[in-house]
Amino acid sequence: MIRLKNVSKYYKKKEGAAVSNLNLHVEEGKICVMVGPSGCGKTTTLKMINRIIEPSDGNIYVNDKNVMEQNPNELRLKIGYVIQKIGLFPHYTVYENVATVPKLLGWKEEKIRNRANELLKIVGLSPQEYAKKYPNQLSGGQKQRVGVARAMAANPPVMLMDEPFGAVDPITRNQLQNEFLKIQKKMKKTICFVTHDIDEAIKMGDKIAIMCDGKLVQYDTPENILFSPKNEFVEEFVGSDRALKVLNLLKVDTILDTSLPKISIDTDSDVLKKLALKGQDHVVVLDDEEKLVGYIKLRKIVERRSLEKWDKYIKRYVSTIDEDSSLKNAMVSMLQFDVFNIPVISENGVYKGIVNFNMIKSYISEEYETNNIVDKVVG
Amino acid sequence: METISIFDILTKEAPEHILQHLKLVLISLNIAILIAVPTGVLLTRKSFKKYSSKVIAVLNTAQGVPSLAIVAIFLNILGIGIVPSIVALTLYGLLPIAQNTVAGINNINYEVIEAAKGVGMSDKQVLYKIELPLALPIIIAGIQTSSVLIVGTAAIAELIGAGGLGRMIFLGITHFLPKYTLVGALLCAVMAIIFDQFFRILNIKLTRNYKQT
Ligand SMILES: Nc1ncnc2c1ncn2[C@@H]1O[C@H](COP(=O)(O)OP(=O)(O)O)[C@@H](O)[C@H]1O
Ligand SMILES: [Mg+2]
Repeated sequence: MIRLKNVSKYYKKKEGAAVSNLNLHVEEGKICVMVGPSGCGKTTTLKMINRIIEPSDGNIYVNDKNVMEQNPNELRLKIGYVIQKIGLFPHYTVYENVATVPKLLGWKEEKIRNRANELLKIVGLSPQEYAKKYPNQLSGGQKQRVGVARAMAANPPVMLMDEPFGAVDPITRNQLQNEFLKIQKKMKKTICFVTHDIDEAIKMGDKIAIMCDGKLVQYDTPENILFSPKNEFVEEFVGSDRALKVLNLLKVDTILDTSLPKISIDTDSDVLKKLALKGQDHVVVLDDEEKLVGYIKLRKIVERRSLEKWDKYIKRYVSTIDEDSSLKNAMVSMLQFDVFNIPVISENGVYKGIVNFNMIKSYISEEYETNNIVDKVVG
Repeated sequence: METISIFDILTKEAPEHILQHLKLVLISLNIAILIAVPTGVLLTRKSFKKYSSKVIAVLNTAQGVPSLAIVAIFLNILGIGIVPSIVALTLYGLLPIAQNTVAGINNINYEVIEAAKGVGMSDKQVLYKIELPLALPIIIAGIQTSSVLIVGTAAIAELIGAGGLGRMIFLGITHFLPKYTLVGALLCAVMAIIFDQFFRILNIKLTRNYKQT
């Protein structure tokens, strides 16, 4: 739990406050995203929590203890910190970077090794391949992963993350965000996350703190930020494409269509005929581990030829998406591959259902019927 | 004596002077490192940072004084012998090391230092685990420059009784024995090259794994 009470920071007395009279409460196990234009005081706020910067006024509590009453180094050992530019130690290998905090805490060699290897796997880097590499041998995305692993090394209950996915391309960022959310689902850490990107805020935050000129403008759930912006600043910051941003919030499983008949590769051709007679257009073909093989357009085939060797008519889907993806990801894929249906699969490739373009449209219009922004999506 | 061959000079007389020269260089270089590195580190600490440019400027000016003048000055202050020679040589070697220590530490990316503090390292741990190792290549480059300077200046320090290869050079000059001067000067040059290459290779070895980005 993190609590800020009337916190202010003046870098220079004459100038205005970089952060002014800030009150914020991040609940246990939740992600609070601080978002706002550059220079609005996000980094300053974050750094006051672990005392890299001392507040000029007010009190900050981490797990009910006043940070000002603790030794800064001991405090920081208990708070995971991912800084804006990652700041990996260039003379340390990936392994040594990740092992930094456990070493400072005096863990036993073996415990450190197990933990570092476990963490590298968690952030998606194989220890065999990456442990001995130096930061300059890594891509931007890999550096970010190591930065996150280093921050989580001693399993701190609280983490501060300053634009942790800022320096990578959009595709990698999306991937890192998804992976981090997956990790957070299990780890349930209390996280203060800074970004200047409202889309990232909506995606990552349980709650969003919108800041402007050192002041907190609105602290609310992503839904409320999108649909009940407190004032013009928030409205403008969120952008005119609010309805599209809603798609970021919704996961594909909210409108998953699981009604398509599933058949396996050795299903008898009679079954297919029956399905076709019933008017079924598509069926999904799975292997014996429930993994997606492809689909068959029944009606077309039945009209023309026998179904004796039906497996040669199996077609592959041009694209699939992960069950954790947002509806926005689904839409993007649909536009990218010029399709209206995309199958959803789990992490290990098991088929879950289909998302369909029209279903997304009607879901949004039903769900947010009363809201005037809807016509912008469906219209 | 005029008929002595270069070979004889090299094998019979030079070794003793080489050793003496080496002794002068190693002692002064080590003292210079022991003084200059901590001074450089001190000049990068928060409370001393404001003096760093001034101190470096003073040292810079001192470096501008010709080595012959430095040697002459110490003749007047400390007299003749090994000790004043070592003092003069040490002083002469300070600047490159101190300057590079300051530059090496100040050149480290700020976010690396912030990350080190952020994960909970104390100031001392940040210095020993992060700043010094990362500044090391530049510090070593400073030591490399210093060593070459000291090897050369040590020859002149013979004027206040340092001994070493300078003795051969000046003996050759005063007694009109050009072979001695030649051998002394060549050996001096070779020693400078060896020091230079030693530190160059050491630096490559130390930093072959990583690059500061
Ligand atoms: N070390 C500093 N000294 C003086 N002013 C600073 C310092 N760091 C930040 N500021 C000022 O404080 C304000 C907030 O900065 P910052 O917290 O970095 O914003 P953000 O992270 O939201 O971009 C800015 O106006 C910035 O110029
Ligand atoms: Mg910032």
